[in-house]
Amino acid sequence: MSAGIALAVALLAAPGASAPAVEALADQLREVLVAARPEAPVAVAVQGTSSALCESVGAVLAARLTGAGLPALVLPGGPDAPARARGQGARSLLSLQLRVDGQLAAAGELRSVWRNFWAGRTPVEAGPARLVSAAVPADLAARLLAAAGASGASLILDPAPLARFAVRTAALASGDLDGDGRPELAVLVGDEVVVLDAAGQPVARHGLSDLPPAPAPVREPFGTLCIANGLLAVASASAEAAVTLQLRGSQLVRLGHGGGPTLGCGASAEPATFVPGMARLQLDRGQEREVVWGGDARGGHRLLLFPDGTARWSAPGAGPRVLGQVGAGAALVSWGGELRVAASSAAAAPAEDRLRLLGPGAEEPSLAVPGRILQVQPTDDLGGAPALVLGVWTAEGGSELRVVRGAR
Amino acid sequence: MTVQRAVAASVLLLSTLPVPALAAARARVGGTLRLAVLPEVRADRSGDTPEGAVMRGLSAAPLCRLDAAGRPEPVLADVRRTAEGINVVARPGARLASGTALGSAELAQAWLRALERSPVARALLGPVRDAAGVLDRATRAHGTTLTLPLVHPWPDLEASLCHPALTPVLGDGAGDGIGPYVPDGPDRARASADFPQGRPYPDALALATLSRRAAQRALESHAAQVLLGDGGDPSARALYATYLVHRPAARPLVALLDGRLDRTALVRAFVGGPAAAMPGLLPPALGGPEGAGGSASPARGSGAAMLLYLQDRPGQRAVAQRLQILLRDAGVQLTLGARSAEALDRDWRGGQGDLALRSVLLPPLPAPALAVVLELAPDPELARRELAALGALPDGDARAARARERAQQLRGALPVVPLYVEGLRARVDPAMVDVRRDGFGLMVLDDAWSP
Repeated sequence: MSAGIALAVALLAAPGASAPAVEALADQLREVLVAARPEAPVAVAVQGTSSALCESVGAVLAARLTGAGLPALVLPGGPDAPARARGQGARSLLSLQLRVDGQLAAAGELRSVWRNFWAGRTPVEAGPARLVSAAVPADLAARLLAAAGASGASLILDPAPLARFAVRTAALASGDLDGDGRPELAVLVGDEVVVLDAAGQPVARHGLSDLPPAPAPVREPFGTLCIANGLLAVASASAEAAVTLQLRGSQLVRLGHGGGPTLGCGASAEPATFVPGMARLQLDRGQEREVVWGGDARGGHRLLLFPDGTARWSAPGAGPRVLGQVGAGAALVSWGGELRVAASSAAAAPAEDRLRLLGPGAEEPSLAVPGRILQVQPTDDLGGAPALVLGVWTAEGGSELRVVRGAR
Repeated sequence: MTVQRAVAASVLLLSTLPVPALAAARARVGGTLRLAVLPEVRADRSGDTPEGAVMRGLSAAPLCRLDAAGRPEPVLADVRRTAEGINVVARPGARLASGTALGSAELAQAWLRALERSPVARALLGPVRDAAGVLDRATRAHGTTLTLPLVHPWPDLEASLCHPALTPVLGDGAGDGIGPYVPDGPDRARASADFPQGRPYPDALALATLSRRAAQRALESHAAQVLLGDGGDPSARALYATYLVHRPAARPLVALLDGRLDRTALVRAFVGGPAAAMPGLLPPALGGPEGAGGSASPARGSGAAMLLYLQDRPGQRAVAQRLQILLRDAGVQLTLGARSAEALDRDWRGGQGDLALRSVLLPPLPAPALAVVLELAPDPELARRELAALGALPDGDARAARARERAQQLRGALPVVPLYVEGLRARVDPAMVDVRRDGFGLMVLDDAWSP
């Protein structure tokens, strides 16, 4: 018995526990499945951020189905689950995604894994598919299992910061500024912009203290940076005007004033305006004119971050998704071949923040990062591999750049 | 429904599950910052004590802030070196509640007032050649730059100008400075949208003057987020130093305290924490010696003397009474004279009293701190000699080491007897975010916010 299942059994057996969430969820799913009359045996494959919770739900549900006259077995989830189900002799497959917020929720599909012999080598899926979902209030046991199994296995934090600053970072950008085909990093920090190489060494600096101050000064470090076409656009909430810079050797040369803050960068960029006196933005066009604390725009996707700890993710041809527990540091990133949202937590001032990769699936790799993540910036090549660079505020009032990479 | 659509629908279902209301990762704007202050803190309108400096700083910010590492960060003015001295340049947007921009005349006027009433201000501006004359002329000038020529090199001047004693305040009213909050009445203030560092996150500030017990209850029940005057962090930097100063003729009386005065017991029984015994002229936080100091066999004497002390500092009253008892045991009749801070400085300089308890918030650098100690001794020539020699050392570490060394050597030669040093007495609701300490060990509430 795995540690997760042992924990679940212990919690479910706790005296005085009434209707544990995992059992209640399994009971709801059993009702749905019995009514659907799938062909037995049924393989149950559960996926989620916590393997312990997935194992527990799978084990309890399989026991409930078997008790109801539907012999069932448990399989690991994944794209090859149908093949494995067939290999184990199952005739039906229940694939479930789990999520724990205020509720323990499961959603997925029930389908036959029988393959028509006459279809030859073409993998035609046959048989009716049925959407299955259930949700119950999450209890302590479910939360414990979710926490116990959650891991940052697919994300790795570089042990040492890439760079450190005495004050807090206001904005972060990545892109090729010197024309060598490899990206540099640009950081808006204090009253200057610093360009760093892949090793975190300063390549160039440019002071902004000569710019006229914003009519209403902003206490929190805030601004946007965009690297496009070899130029660096800088908009600081502390200054009245934005500037465009070009890297020439070890100097950042000011090409001119104009423009303003943007969500995202390049062709997808959404123009915005600083809210006077606050670290907030408002989009200049479109229907969505709520005050946001930032966002991103990339490849037709748009991400808006709201001060209530939610985010709205709009994708081409799809309705907007509302994401919960998203902090001020979040960006659209291409990860594992699909677009995801890399998001900090919405906790007020965590000693340790959590970076999550929210995607189209329920899987949410996450990673603990010391400090408060305020900026998230994907970069195509940092030390030979794509990575996420985080602007992290430290408790001492300074900041660091931390690098997150995918596990190999 | 295709499998793909079914899966997409299930994902949408998961993503729209209700989420609990959450706090914000960036600062929350709005609400009221509520302070509970003890009566003695409220009485310190000049911000001489650590607690008074924190309270006054909310409506009257200093020129700059020293961070915990001792680096100055401009708040109301930038300081630039010139060949002859320094230029203090008011920052754009630094405006008094009346709308008047902070200029050289306003700054000079504020510093002339500070020179009148504060030994700390006199010490910090000591390296300025003819400070009173320069400032007096500047009160009739226009512009934003105040030029200060120096009588000798003084590399620590930029950091010294961040001291709360040099906060530009033009009068005795709460609104006579430039701070993140603008007073709306005796107990309320509103966020200043024009403050050069940006408006504070809460919309308003509320002050309640409460007894110790009531203030503690207010903090525990979250009716107040900050309590000034009680509690404190023993690990925080303690720089509010108290000395017993005396006239040359009273030196035999002070010698009677040797062998009778136990500084550690004095702190424990009469001062309270966070505080420590201070046997040297510089406190332990600045590299001064720790412990209770040397002891000698108690001697006896006779006569009468008068001790001036601060009436609004309960700890100082208790220490004055303790010294009265110790000297009575030695055969000396000590009379106690309670004074306000301003009256104590004026009367002592005017020749009243034989002894006085002087409490000063020392700068967090040994050389300027020694300058403050020397200001308490009535020997301007000695001070000038000592400080010129220290200022000639360009290296900060060497200057600090030399200042510590000189403090030890001057310990018995000055009519200044170190007694104890106190830290900030304050407590803060643990839920508050971005409350930090500056180089003086003072709490900076400008960035504070509640989730």
